Amino acid sequence: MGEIETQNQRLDTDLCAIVVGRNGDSFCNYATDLLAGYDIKFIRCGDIYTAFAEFAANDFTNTLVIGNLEQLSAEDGLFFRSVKKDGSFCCCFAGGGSTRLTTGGSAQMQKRVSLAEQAGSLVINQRAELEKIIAKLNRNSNSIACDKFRTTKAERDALLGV
Amino acid sequence: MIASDRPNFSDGSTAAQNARRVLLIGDVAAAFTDSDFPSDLSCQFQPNMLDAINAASRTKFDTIAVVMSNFSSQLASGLKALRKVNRNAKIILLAKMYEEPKAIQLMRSASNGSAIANDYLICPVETDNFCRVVMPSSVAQRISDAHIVKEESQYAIRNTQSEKIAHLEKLATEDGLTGLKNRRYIWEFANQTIELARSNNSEVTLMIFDIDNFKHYNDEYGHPAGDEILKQVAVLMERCCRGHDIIGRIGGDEFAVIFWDNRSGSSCETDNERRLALADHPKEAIFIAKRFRKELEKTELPLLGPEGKGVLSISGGLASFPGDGSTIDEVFCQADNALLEAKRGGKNRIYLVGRRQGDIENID
Repeated sequence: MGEIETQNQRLDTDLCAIVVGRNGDSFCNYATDLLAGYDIKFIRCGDIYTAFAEFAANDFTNTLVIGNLEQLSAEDGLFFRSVKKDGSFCCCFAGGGSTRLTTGGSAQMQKRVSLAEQAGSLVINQRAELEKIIAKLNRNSNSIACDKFRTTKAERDALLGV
Repeated sequence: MIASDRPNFSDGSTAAQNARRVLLIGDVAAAFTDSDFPSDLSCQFQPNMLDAINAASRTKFDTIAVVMSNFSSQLASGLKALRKVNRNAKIILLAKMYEEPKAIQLMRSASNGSAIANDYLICPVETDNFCRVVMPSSVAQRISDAHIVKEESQYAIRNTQSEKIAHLEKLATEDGLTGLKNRRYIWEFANQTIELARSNNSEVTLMIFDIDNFKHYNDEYGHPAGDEILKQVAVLMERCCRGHDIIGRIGGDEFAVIFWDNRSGSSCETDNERRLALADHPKEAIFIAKRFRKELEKTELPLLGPEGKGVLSISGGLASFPGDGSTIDEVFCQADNALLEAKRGGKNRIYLVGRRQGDIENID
C-alpha cells in the first residue's frame, strides 16, 4: 500500500493518514515508514496548507494527521481545530529540535501544547508512542478516537516540567 | 474580520447571479483606499489562510486576492494550496511597495509551468484598478473606458487595458530620463519601509546625493551631455546596490537611495541570500556608497572629450531610522543636512549623521 500517488483521490481505507513535514524531517520519515509497515494509506504534505488543501479537496474524514507540534500549531492552533471539525485528529511530536519538551517547557511550548490539546489533538514526546497509537488505531479503525491515548494532567505537567 | 469592520463590498448572497466571484484574504479594509465596489463583484472575506483554503475548496472563485503583508513567511505555501483547490482562479497579490520584488518572484516561480500568482497590485489599491484587473474586459470596459470600440476582440481589449495600466503606472512612479523611481515613489516607499521597520524593530538608511558641479557640465557641454551624466550615474548606482534597495531621482541632479531590511528574505535558503537581505545599518550603506564613489571615479564620459575621465564626483548625506529620526520627514531632513555639510566641507565626500543630534561625520 503506502503513499498515495494521485492527488484528489479519496482515501477509501478505514484508517488513513496525512503526514505533514518536509522530506528531510526525521520524525515524518519515521512516521511514513511506520505507516507503510502497517499497510496504512497516507499522503505526505510539506506544510499545513497543503495538508489542509488535501483535506478540503478530498473530503477526508477519520484521518490521523501526523507532524511536528511546532509546524502543526501554526496560525494559533487553527489547523488543529479545522482538522477536528472534519472528524479527524492530529498527533503531534514535541520531542524534536527546538520544541523539545524536556528543556523545561517554555511559555511558547506550553501554549502550543495547550492549543493542541484544547482542539483534541494528541501530543507525544517519544517516537515509540506513535507506533502504539497507530497499532491501536489500526485494530479499531472503524472509529478513530484519540481519547484513549490522551495524556493525564500529571503526565502533561511532567512533560512540560511544570 | 468582524462584520462591522468590513468595507461596504457587495455580499455573495445578494449579488447578481452572474457576478464575478472574488475571495479576499487578509486585512482587506487596510489594503484598499475605498470600499465602493460595483455589484458586478460577489466578494467573500476570509481573514486567515486555512479558512480561505476551505472556502476555495467549496466555491469556484474567479479571482482570489491575498493581502501579502498578513502572510509573510508562509505565503508561498498558502498560495500553492489555494491553487490546488481552485485551479482556475486568478490569484492576485495585494502588495505593499516593499513587497513588490517578492510579488514578482511569486509570479515567476513556476515549478510546473504555472505561476503561483498571476498578478499583483500595490497597496493601497483603488477599487477601480482592482475591478479592471478582476473583471472580464467587457465589464471593465463599461465601467472605466467607454472609448474602446466594441468591434475589438475581448482579447485585444484585455491586452490594451493591461498595457495601458502598466504604462500609466510607469509614468506615475518612474523618472523618464534615468528609469529610476521618481520623488513621489521614493517618499511613499520610505514612508512604508519606516512603518515596517517600526513594527519589526529593523532599520532603514537613506542616502541623498547630488553630482558635484553638474551645472558646469550642463552649461559647458549642453543638456544632452548633462542627461548622459545623469543616466550614467543611475546605471552605476544600480550596479552598486543590492537587488531590493530602492534608487530614485528626486530632483535635477539629486538622487536618493533607500537601504532597508528585506525581512521576507530571512526565510532565504542560504547564508549568502540572508546576508544580502539584512543590512548592518548604516555600515552596509556606507560600504555601498564608498563603492559607488570608486566606480564613479573610473567612469569615462566621451561626451566631455579629454576632460571626461575620472572627473565625476558626488556629495552625499546618510541618515538612518530610528537612530537619526523617527519619521520620514526627520530622516530626510537629517540626510539633507549631512549632504549640505558635505558640500560645505569641499564636495566629493559623503557625510553620515552621527547618533547624537547635529553630530555629522565624514565616512571617509
